[in-house]
Amino acid sequence: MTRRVAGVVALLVAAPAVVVATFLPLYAQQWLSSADDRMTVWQTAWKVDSDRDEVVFTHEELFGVPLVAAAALLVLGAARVGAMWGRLVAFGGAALLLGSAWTVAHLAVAAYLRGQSGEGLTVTTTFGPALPLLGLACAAALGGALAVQEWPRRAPAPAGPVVYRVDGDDDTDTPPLGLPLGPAAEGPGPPGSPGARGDA
Amino acid sequence: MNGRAVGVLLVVAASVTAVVATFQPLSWVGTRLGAHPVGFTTTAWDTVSDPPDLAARIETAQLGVPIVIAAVLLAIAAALVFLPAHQRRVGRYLAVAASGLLGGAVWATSAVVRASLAEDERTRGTIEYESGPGLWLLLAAVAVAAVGTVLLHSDPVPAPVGVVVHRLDPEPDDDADTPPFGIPVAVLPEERPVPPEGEAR
Repeated sequence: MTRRVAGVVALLVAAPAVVVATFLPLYAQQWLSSADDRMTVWQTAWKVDSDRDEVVFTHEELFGVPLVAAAALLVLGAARVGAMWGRLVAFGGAALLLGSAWTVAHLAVAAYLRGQSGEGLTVTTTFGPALPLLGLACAAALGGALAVQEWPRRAPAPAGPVVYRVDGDDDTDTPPLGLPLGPAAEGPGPPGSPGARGDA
Repeated sequence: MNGRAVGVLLVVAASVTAVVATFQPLSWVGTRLGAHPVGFTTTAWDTVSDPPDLAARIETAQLGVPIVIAAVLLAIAAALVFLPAHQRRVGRYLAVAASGLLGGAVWATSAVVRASLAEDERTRGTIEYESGPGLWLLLAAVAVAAVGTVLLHSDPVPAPVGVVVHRLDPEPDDDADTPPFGIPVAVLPEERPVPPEGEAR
């Protein structure tokens, strides 16, 4: 029961972290021209923005939609964790989150590798805080989604002596616990003691 | 053919489709004003210009990586269905995880493509933006994977053990009080040998 509570807590921590991360910069690029004119452009999961008011980006980057949808599934699964479908929704939401965050991370890495320096323009790309936050949220969501599942019980440890039967052509007729002692030899040791078993 | 076999086939088909789709063009940006179209085709791995060497190598986001990994997980999940019944749960959870991973990756990929295709006001009219067949193949793969994952969870209905009794809904004036196995035949007492008086039975 405590494992499931911990899983629900992890899911409920991961979901708002994802929503916050969509509004944080995935990466930031500092454009430095030869005239010592600098501008910082950054991209969140919703839009591209810059620190210059006169530069307007019309692109709508809507990577945040699958991320927020996955976060909503995490919350739904955490709320209905008692039902089988709720646990599956949490699990599927964690997978959806991982897939979309992974794709977004590749996008940021490509922007980092692209660079595009030259022609009097120096572009310095740095990763933003959204990526590590998304990574932590993915880890929490996956761990929580696995923790809330119904895990099958382990097989109980066998009580009493464990007898392994070894297949072979030697003495296969001996019963596993050995041959019972005759009534004349019945003396100090109780029947079924380790000494009697090892004789087989 | 039962539902689970259909599910296995659909999951495998989705896996193959997703991998193939990553090598198909996701988008095309260019112009057809000249004699020959000039533009850039982007797949999930690479960007190539239509006349080659139009530009230096363009660093492309490797969007195919999570898609291919999800496809591999889908194939593994389809194979795990053939495990014995008490271990089959692993395959089902893996199928849910792989479908979710594929769905998230494709959803974000389509958002990336749509953002890259958003027309810029200054170039409207001269530059054309098109989405390619790879995007539609990816979306189809997600739909097929989702259906296949649901079908993978369908258990065959176990055959009933023992006598099958179908209980019909009684009509209002029917003999609804008859038990399902009927009324036992009365045993006539005079056909039995009468035990002698005083003997214990």
